[in-house]
Amino acid sequence: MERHKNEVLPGTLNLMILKTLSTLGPLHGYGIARRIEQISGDRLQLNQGTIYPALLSLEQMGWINSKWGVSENNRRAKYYSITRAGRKQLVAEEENWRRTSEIMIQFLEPSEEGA
Amino acid sequence: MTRLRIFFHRLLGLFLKRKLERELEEEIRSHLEIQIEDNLRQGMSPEDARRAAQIRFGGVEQVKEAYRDKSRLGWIETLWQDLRYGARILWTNPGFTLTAMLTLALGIGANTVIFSIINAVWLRPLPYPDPDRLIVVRETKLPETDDSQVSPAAFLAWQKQNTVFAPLEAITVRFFNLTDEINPERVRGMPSTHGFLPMVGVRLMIGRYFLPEEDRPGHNRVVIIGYNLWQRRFGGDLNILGQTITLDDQLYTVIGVMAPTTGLRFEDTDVWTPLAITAEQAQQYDSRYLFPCGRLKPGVTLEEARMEMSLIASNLAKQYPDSNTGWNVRLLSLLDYAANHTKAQLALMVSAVAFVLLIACANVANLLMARAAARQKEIVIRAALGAGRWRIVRQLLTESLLLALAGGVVGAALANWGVKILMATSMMGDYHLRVIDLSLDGRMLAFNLAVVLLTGCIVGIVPALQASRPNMNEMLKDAGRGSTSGRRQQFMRNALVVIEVAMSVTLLIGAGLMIRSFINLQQVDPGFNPDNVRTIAFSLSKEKYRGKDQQAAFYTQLIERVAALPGVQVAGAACAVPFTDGWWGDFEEGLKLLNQGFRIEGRASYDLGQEPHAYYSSVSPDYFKAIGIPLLRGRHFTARDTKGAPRVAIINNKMAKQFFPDEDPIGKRILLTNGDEVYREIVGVAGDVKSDGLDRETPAQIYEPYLQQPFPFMTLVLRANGDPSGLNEAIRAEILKLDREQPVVGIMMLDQSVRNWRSTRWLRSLGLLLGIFAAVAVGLAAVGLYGVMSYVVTRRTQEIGLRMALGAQPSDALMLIMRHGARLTFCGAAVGLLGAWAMMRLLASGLYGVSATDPLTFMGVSLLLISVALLACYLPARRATKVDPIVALRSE
Repeated sequence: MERHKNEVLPGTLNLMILKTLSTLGPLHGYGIARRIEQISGDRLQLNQGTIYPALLSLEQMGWINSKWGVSENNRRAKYYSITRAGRKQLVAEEENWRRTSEIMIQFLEPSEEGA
Repeated sequence: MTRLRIFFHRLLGLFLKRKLERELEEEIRSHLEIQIEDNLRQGMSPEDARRAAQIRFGGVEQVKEAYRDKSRLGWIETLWQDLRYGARILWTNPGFTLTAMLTLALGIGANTVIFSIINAVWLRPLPYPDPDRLIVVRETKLPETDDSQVSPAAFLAWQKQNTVFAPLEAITVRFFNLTDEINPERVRGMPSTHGFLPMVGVRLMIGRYFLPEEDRPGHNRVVIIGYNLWQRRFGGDLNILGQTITLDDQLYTVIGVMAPTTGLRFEDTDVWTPLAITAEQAQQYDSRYLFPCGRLKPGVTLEEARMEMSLIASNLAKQYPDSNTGWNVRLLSLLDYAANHTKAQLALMVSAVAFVLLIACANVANLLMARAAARQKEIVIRAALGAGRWRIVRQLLTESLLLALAGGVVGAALANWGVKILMATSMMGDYHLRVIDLSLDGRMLAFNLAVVLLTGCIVGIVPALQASRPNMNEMLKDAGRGSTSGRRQQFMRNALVVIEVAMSVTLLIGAGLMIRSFINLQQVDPGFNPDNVRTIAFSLSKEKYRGKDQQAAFYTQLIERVAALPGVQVAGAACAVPFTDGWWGDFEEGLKLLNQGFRIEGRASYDLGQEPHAYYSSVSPDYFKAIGIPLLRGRHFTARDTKGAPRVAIINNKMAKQFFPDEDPIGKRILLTNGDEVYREIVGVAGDVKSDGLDRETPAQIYEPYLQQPFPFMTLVLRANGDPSGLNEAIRAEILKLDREQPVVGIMMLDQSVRNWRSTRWLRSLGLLLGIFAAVAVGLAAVGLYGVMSYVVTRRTQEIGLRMALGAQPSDALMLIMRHGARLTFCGAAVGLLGAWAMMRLLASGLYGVSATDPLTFMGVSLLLISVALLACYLPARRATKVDPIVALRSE
């Protein structure tokens, strides 16, 4: 299993963060990182730290907000939540990814005419 | 949009740097702690739990670094760093910094002065609503006149027929005698059609504009008075409205007061009256004295207006061929019209100050290069520590920009002062029709900033690129041997000095030519002797002195009385005196009078409008003696040339030669076409007189005795013995004794009038300004040369020491350095002479009595510059002779 760990493709981390926040609601950095690892079934090689610069740039773009809060085990943590602009962006990017991955799959599968 | 958002976030990040870092640290800490707790819950030992958490998280420092990159604007931080570093470096070298800064301040300051004047004269919009739509209409008849006033008949035709202006109005100029029991005064009036003031948007302080019916003859006895007159004469009395004042013996009701002018000066008009065109004037096509101005209708372009107005003009030319053949219209915006006379002068100034700035830049660039050479070690170390070339260039450029900025600030202060001096010396005098507003505006700020940035870059880029050339080998070699180091650098520095010298030569030649023209102009013989001559211009009330006899009697009496005053040698009078603005009532009369058509008895007659013209004056018998015009042949006018006696005239030498080349003009008879059609017998030939500027050709001139042709406006001409005190008061008293309602305004010294005549003053102010700029340029070039030669001496100290150790004399060392300096100087002078030779042709039209490639000026300037330059080389060269071979060689 360790051998198949994938690198995070550039640009996908933002999408994963937005999707996470949109399904789970406000979450702190650790929670987001864990969620991404769980969804990917631990196949993704994610340095959890890298989500912080990503969170910062998402916030700068106005797609997410942050607020200090208290975690379930009573620790001060910064909670991130998606904004309306973020949701719009998410829809657009989801669509975009879907199309891209379809193209890639079609491209990689042996095509009928080719055979 | 998002970009901008990010930019602001990051800009904010700059100031919240600490807070952001603290928060990130806290976030990471809580992240790790939660992870550790999770791990513990899964049964790991505390040790393992911590380690696993750290591994999952990745490198904390990398994350922080990545976070920082995103949270801030890197370039701003670098800039800030560079600025601090640059400021520190400049601070630690006060000598260098001060020199460079002052040099740039001179250059930038000079440019700011000229720009602020251009801004005030050309660029600032006039303070009226939609000033661009205000169009002045002039008449032209090429090639003779390219800019003339307009005849009333043509104006009325245009006003009626055009569809492009709404409205088209007109003004003219007229002097009035403003009289009351106490204080007679001569005031400048501007008769205008009723719509002119509201069309332009001139504001009134109180009262109202003219009504449409008020610019008809007979209804026009209303007046709007100027703000200055209101303050001066009526003490700002708000009850002035409805009162009457007496202008040329007519009562006018005051209906308004002008607000202080901020736009056009309108020649400092005191009274505005309605311009009432009489039925007779409405038929006049050949006397041109109106200044029409209109407002373009919305949507009409200037080009469309031009086409339509031309069409109307060409129809008029067909309809009235006698007066209008060849006449066309010229349309230009009011602003252009107001700035018209200044263009050539300001363009010249712009090039001069641009030269000064470039020289200043070359100088500072040279200084920077010298310093970059001294800082090579620092730069090599920076490069070795991994600073990229761009990074080093940026650092050095920041420094030069800082210098330029400091120079800009000091320059602005200098400029502020310079502009004040310039305005105070009235150098810009009457070249502008606008009220000059020099207050700071956005345009000036932008200009200054642009000049500063440009200067900083020009000055810094070459030295920065050179210094950052990362050729360590060469640097190390150079640093070690220090003989004739950095060839390329030395070449650049030499080139800069050559350019400086060349530009100073060009500028100096420009100034030299102007100054020579001015001197030439001073030496022109005006044809009379203006020393100790006073002129007093005034005009008589047409009501009181209705008949010509009365007018003549007044002047006869006045001349007699004034001639009897102590200290007065001889007194005369004339209706037009050279270099003296006549004080005839209105423009129309003046134009007709000064330029008279004539016919010679027995010669073929000319077509209408084609006869020759002469400059005319009606004079008293002693006028020629009083002003000092010699009589070449024939006789003077005498007291016997009266109304009843045969009509006589005196002509000038020029006219005699031109129209009577092979015969004696005396006894021939001429007729003036503008007036009574009577032949006058020529009784004398007088010397030629310059009448309208020393640089003008003398026209043909005709004089008549005033007893035969009196005018209600004459200028008294008095020749005194020296400058007796109290004479002016005595003259005034005599005039008031004759008529206590007669305003006497200016008693002028004729020699001053000649000296300050427009064209003379133009050349003088231009020559002086160019001279100042050229002097600055030469000074800067000398400093530059001095700097480079000092550097050369320093670099070649060892070589000189070696040569001396081998037996060279101090004089050989001197020659070595002087040769180097002389080479640069001669190269620069040669380039400069070539440049001047090419450029001065542009100046030719402004010169007088000297060709644009005057060899004397070219040689003189070269000699002057070469001696200054060699002196600048000599000082460092002398240091070379003091080189002690032992010290020099040991210093290795």
